[in-house]
Amino acid sequence: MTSSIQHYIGDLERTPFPNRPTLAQARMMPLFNEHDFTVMADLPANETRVLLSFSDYFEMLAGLVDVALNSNLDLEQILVSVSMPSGGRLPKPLLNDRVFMLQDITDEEARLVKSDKRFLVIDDHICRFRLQTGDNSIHLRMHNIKDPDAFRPLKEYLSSVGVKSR
Amino acid sequence: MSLELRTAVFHSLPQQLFAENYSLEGLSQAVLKKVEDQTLDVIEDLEIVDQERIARHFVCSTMIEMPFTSGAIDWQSLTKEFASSHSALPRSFVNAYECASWGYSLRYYLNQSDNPLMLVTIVDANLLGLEFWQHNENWGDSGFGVCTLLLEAVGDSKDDVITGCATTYNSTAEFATIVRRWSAKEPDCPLSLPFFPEHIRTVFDRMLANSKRLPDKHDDYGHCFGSDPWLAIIDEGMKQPAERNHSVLACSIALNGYYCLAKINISPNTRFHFSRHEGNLI
Repeated sequence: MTSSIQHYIGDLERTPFPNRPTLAQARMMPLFNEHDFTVMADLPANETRVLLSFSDYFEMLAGLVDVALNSNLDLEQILVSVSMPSGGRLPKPLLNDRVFMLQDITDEEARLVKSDKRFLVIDDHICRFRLQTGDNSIHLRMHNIKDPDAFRPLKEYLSSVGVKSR
Repeated sequence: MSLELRTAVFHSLPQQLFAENYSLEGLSQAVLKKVEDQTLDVIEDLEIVDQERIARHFVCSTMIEMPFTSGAIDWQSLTKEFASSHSALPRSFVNAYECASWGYSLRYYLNQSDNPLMLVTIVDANLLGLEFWQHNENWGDSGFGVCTLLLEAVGDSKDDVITGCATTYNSTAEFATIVRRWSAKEPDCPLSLPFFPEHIRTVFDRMLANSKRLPDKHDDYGHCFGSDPWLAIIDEGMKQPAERNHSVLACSIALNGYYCLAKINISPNTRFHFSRHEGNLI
């Protein structure tokens, strides 16, 4: 079997749940002394606009994973790139046994490509706070799925939460 | 049908990793060098054919997150040399499941691969020197280090690893209930639990009073995140070498409620080692 890949790139353009009040959840590590403040101030700060809170972000990501798990794509695995901290407990779909979350999915994706498995990669760069690198883009890669319309349910979901296809 | 612990090694890192004027990149490289050296030590005794059977090496962490999240350091750049070096060196980093990251990595691996040998290295090091990570009300004093495990799945070992997440916000008590239920079925299998200060481990004392437990080492090492159950196993293994094959249940619970239990087999051939780094790392 020859491995195949389909790509999707989108950009978050607005808050994902616009007609719903969201708790203000600015998160900051507890800082106690001068060193703590200095070292945090020295971390690179991102100029990308923050359009969602921590909980909005994980709700959106879990919603996307849920759509993929319940689609007719019969996915064997979903790799998700996730940065910590999460600021709270992750929603259930992200802990599903077909989902694996890594800080960096590059190597694991390359290994799975060799296995002919049907799998999805969710590699987002959405910023939920200023101390997070990223440009609000989201990249999906579907491996070994023959259906040319495979991204349709995922695109529909992403569109509903303010992500515009490039 | 078992998960064999071939080697378990812990290298303790100091609370204060750096002298003044350190670079985060340099410090990260120094920690990763420890991981590299320890990996090569762990596989040194393996036949070349076994070394090549190591299909994955995951680096797991609870508290190394902001340096990566902020983009101050980058996993691909830090490990680019590994790709062209030994195949047993780690290429993936997992911290989403906090202290239970090692268990979720095992779950993933056992679902993915028929290849029996895998490495997991649990690394917690206070790269930013933040006081919160030195000690806090959630677990008292912290302990830092690099814990490398060489595991071999003999037959289908998927059922030997349990992962999950608490449904209540009284996670530690709920976790103790889950462990207790497991322990009732295998009363002879000792439990290796996370290290907590006395006021927290009271939950274990009460709810797991009838189970065999390895000693809590919080007073000696602090809470060493996902390494705790393995450090207790190493400590025990070095004190009292196994005379016959036996099982231990390694258990971790994360602050956000993710937990993992793994029934592992220890044999007289299992290798254990503990070392301590003195002074600053850089």
